[in-house]
Amino acid sequence: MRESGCTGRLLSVRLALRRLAAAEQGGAAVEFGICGPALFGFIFAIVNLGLLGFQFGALVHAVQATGRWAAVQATASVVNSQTSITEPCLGSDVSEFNALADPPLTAMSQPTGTAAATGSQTTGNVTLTVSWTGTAGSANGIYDTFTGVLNWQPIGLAGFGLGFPMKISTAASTVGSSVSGVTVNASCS
Amino acid sequence: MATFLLLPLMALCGDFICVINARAQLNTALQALIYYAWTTGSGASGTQGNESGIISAINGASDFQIGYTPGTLKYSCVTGSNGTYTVPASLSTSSTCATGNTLFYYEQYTLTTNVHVPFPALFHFTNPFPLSVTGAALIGHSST
Repeated sequence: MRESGCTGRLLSVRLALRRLAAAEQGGAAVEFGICGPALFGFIFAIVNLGLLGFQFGALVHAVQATGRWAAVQATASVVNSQTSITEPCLGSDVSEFNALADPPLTAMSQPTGTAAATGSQTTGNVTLTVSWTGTAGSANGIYDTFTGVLNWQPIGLAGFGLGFPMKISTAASTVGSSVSGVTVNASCS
Repeated sequence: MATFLLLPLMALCGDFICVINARAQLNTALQALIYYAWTTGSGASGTQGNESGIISAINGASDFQIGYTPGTLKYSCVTGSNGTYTVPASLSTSSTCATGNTLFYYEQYTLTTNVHVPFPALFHFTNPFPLSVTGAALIGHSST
């Protein structure tokens, strides 16, 4: 008996579906569609973590070297006429920082303007802040504090707010506890 | 599928980065103390706890609060002559050396901090995650 047109079409669709279910062609493409994003995600994460380690390592090394420089070179001469602490060493600090941070970090330009107790330079995603802490004339000494901040952002995702700041601080003593009852004028040598 | 793999991976990366940052801060603070000991420490009297200002200055600027106990003096007796010296593997609390040895003075520091990792439950991390670092600086010597 001859089947009607509608039933024939149904049978051919059913047959096509059966063939599709039994077919194995294109399996690799389907598997890649499932695993590909994970694979690329892994590679992307590895590259970004490597870059983060490289840049953060440079930042830590540069901050430590700047602290070492200050511990050895920055001095504070004791004078009775000075009433406040100024930061005359920011230019030297920036030079020392640049010597070790660039590359991979971008070199900072030299600061301009009048010296103050706190100075800060920012270039690209890196900031170096230098401040003298402690009370002039106190027995607790005067400390030169350096803080380097790397605002790290993963490559390719900078516009999505996925970055975060990584901060490292160090400090160096420029006048020890023997200073008492006098004011201090910081200077570079 | 990829989400189930990538989200834990990213969470672990976040924890990992926080711990690395804290560890680097601890090492940097220890190095600052060692520079302080080298530049101001004097032989038998050491730094006498005056280095606390260094940690206060760093804590004032850092994201991590560093715990600190004043440095302790340690010693080692170095033997030898004519450019060939034997340095003990570990430091001692005794400042007594045999005659003819050289007594080396060290200032030893231990710093600690606690890291609040962002995703502790996922990998059963202790939260806060404790970190510590110990180091010593040679600050002087004398012949006995």
